Amino acid sequence: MALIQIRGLRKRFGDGDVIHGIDLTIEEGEIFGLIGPDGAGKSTLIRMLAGILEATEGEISLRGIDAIRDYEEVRSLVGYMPQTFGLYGPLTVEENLRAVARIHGVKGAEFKKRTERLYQFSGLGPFRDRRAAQLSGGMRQKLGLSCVLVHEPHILLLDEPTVGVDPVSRREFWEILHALAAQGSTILISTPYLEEAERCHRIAFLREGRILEVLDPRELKARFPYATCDIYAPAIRSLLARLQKRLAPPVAFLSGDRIHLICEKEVVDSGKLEQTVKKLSTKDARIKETTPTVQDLYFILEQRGNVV
Amino acid sequence: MWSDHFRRIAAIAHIETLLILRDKRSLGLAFIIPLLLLVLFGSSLSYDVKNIPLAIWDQDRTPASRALIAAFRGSPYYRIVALKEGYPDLINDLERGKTIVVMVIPYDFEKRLNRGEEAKVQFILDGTDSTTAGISLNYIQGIMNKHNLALQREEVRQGTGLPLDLAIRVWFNPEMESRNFIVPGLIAVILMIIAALLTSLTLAREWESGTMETLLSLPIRPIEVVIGKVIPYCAIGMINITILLFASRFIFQIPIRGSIPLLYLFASVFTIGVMGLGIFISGVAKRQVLATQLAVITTLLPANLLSGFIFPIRNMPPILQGISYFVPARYLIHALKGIFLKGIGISILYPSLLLLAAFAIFIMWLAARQVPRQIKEKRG
Repeated sequence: MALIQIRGLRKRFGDGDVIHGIDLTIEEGEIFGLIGPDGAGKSTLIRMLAGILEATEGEISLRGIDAIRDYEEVRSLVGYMPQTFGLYGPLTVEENLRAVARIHGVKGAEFKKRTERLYQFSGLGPFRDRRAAQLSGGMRQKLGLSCVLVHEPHILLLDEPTVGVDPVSRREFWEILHALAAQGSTILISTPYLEEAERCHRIAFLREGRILEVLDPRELKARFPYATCDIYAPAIRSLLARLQKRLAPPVAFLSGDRIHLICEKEVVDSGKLEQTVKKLSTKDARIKETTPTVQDLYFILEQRGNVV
Repeated sequence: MWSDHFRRIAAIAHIETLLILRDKRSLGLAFIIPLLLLVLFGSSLSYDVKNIPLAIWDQDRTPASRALIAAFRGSPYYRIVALKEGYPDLINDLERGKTIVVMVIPYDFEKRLNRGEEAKVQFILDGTDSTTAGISLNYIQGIMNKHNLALQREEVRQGTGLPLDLAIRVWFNPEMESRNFIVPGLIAVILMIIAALLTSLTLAREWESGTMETLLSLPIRPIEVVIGKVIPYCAIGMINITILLFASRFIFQIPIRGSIPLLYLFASVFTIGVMGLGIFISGVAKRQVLATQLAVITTLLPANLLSGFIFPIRNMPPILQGISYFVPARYLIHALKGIFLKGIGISILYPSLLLLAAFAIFIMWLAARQVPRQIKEKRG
């Protein structure tokens, strides 16, 4: 069942469109990832879904509610977590949770039950009496998420919740999200990290306010036909020019002291790349294969129009 | 439905209370500053001029001239600093600021009095400080009138002169102590500054800490946010009112002739309104430093200048008189003076109370409009 339906959504700021007519459907129980660089419009899109930013044009339906017209109603339905969740620093972990819960009308035994559960999976239990201002970045984000979860929303809208969070906390955070999805929550999450995209059920690439592609990340990994590598060599500038002439790779550019190159997988696998580099440069030239990043995907998207 | 409103208001009030309690320094200032201001201003702000230095040149040296000098010596307003011979000496004293008033009694003073002619006395005043000069002029006239009356009575007894006597009674403040009307006015000014200053932090703090976006994403109404925020400050306001009333009564000995509950009622309605103003300013400024500065400017100036606290409203040009109707401190000062000194009650003061209540409701509405429900500016 389509839980979130977006049609022709447009957002104009001043005289430029930040979101250029987006259509998107998200199913119930899905973890849907929004991937894109800064300024792609991820936050703008999420804010419009959360009803805190007015859309210029288009329709948003959340569980049948018109999110643009009835934006106040949306607030009880969704749990929205901004990039940095505004916590009351002088208040303790539990006081922050209680404040949000009381506004939502969660109190008494119900509040106790829910906070215990939240403490359990956030690991914040031992810190319940610590002031929010004294929490680490990872703990702050977990508390933010707990505040969002305390009213048990059907839809979670998370805006780059793992930016600035250490890798361990990040993994824990994703475990929490998967547990929630298993319980039936629908999650829309934005992230600049490609490795996180792989944890989503589906992802959409967002760039300059447009969705370039929507796909299943497992499919992406299996079918991504490109290899990415860094090349270290002397006389790097002339090497780049000659490589471009000889191999015509989709993407090759200077990045500091090395060449960053994206090319078809078989070019690397067949050893053609290595031979070419050795021929054009000295014996010292070194090729280091890298794991594709979201940035690499964009380069390919820009060049070829699709990823797989 | 109503219980939902109350629950959300209570939640906001609870947050704000915790924020206040955790900021001990601001809390301390909230109680110390009003008392400090009251004591400082209350003791230094006085229109009563006493012990004005007076230099005298008595050319006559007769019982009549000495009687006149005695009249001045007996007055608390004058202190005779010098008895001189000749103008150069007197002028010198005046120039050096050793004296402010010079009195010269001419040679024929007693002679003319005895002949029933008009006897003249010369006064020279230092007019650089026009307030003091004006006040001492009043005192001179007062003392001279009294002396004239004494002389007239003497003549009446002897069968001459006019049997005209003045029966002047000053009501409500018989000693015409200026602190009796300064202190009630000061209470209004201090309440206004403190209330606006305290609440000017509220919304700006939410903007700065990012919790405004949290509030934005929660199902809560702007008016609930504003009311919830005002509640804990009302408690501080009531304590402040109590401190100020105690200080007025027991430090400054201001009589409280009217009803104390009525004083509280007026002061609280006024304080709530000004707190709404502080929240409004806070929401407009969005930054705590700017908000506090705006709060001080927008309350200090009108409360001092346009409320009738320092300058009588009826002496103002018509435009300023018009503006003063929009300065809520005006109504509180009017009511406080009435309750403190005249002992008048609600039957006379209700228009002021209604206006203060209207101001409070209007400003709360304005403040609520500063709590956004959707983001307006571009971000992200």
